[in-house]
Amino acid sequence: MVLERSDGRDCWKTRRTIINVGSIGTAYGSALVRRGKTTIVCGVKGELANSRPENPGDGFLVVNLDLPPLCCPLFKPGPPSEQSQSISQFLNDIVTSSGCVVLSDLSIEGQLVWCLFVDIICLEYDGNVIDAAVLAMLAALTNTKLPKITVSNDNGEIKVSEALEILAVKSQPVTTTFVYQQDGGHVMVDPSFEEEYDAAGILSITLQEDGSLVKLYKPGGLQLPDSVLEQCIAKARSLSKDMWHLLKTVSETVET
Amino acid sequence: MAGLELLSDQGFRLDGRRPHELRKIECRMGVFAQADGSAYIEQGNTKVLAAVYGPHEMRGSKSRGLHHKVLINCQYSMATFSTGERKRRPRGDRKSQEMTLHLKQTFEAAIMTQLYPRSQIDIFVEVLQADGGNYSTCVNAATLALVDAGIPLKDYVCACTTGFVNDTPMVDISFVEESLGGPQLTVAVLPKSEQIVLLEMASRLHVDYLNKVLKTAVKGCKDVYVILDEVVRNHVAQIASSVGSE
Repeated sequence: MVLERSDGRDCWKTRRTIINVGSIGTAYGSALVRRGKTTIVCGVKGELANSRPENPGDGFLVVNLDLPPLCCPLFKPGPPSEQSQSISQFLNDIVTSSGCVVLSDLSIEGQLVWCLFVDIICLEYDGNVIDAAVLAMLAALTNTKLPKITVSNDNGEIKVSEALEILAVKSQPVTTTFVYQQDGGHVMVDPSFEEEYDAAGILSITLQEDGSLVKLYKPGGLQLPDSVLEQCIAKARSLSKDMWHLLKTVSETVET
Repeated sequence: MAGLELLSDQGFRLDGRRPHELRKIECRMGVFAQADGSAYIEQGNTKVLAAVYGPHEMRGSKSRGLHHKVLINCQYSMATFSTGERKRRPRGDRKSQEMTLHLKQTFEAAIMTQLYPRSQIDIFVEVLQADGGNYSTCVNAATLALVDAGIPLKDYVCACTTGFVNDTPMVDISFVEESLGGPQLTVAVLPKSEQIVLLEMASRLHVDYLNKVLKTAVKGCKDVYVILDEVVRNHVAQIASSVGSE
């Protein structure tokens, strides 16, 4: 049986993805990602900080996702919602477990390290912010150039040079999100807002290029049979390839 | 600051503009589907996004509703990466609260509020990149978003920030021009009637000069109006043609 979704997509088809990098001049690195109508901007800013005594020489990388009331009529003004906080945590987990940015690379000299703030704003919410946010984060980090910092030996004066250094991104975690109906049937990839709202459960699978799993996330919802999980992982594997290809194309076109 | 001259002897500004020249304005309407009205505007390097929801039923406490006019709810927010130094809070700090209030007051004066009693209109603006004239750019963006949402306005609201250096008023000042001091006057007008909806000036300016600066600012607003009006007309024409072709 072939089921058609409300936007005419096949169950295993993602929406069109657009990535635009470097559009924000005030940030060290930035990216704009559109997945269907879902629109995300991500900006990377750096600050100088002192490393913690327990991990000397390790910098910091803090990811934050904001879901402002601007992006969806259902969101209200006020403090960050539970949803945005849980997605922020999800993104921080991905950074730590994939090691896409090695924290010791952020050290400058002695105690001095970079503290990178990866701030992500959802401009339009049409479902599946997680996938778009991970892509935006990765594209922005890949596009990040930090000014070279030198500390003078005599008086400890900090000098910021005009020269920029590219931030090394070691791996490329990509998330693929699925929703399913009762009994684990009718699995659909890349849900729209409507599909996400009606789903019985949601499942996010994060993979790296070497095929290893970075994170599995199934926040509550109905039970899911093992077979469906395996099927989803296999699908995520093939769909992520397109995203890696896209990210590669983006970074190549920017450099030339 | 040595070495930086806001106005050269030849009468050019730091970015090569003449004193009465606006920065390049680029805008688009209807950028989002979720919002009832939306717009994106770039004035030089200042980039702002505005979204309008409503008029709709009161959200939250119904008692906030007004029985004789619509409640206008604004939120001014600046992305943490929009400024040179990272902003700690995108909204809720004093500067943003002030901006929120100014936007609300501006649009209360321009929207036909009496048409929608016991309802609410939300105006959200997000500054993605800040390079001076944030308030003005937000007002211009919000105007376009309101037009896109089809909300009845008395007129467009156009805003412009003007500085004053070497006895010369400089229109649409950038961040550098803002931060090097000197008086600056922000004005929002209804361009057709030339009525002033909001006027703000911080720092000292001799009263004899006020008229000169204000005149230049209003001229700047009218220049903005010409650009916004063209964008609206093009946008509407485009919609009309796409509806007609169906």
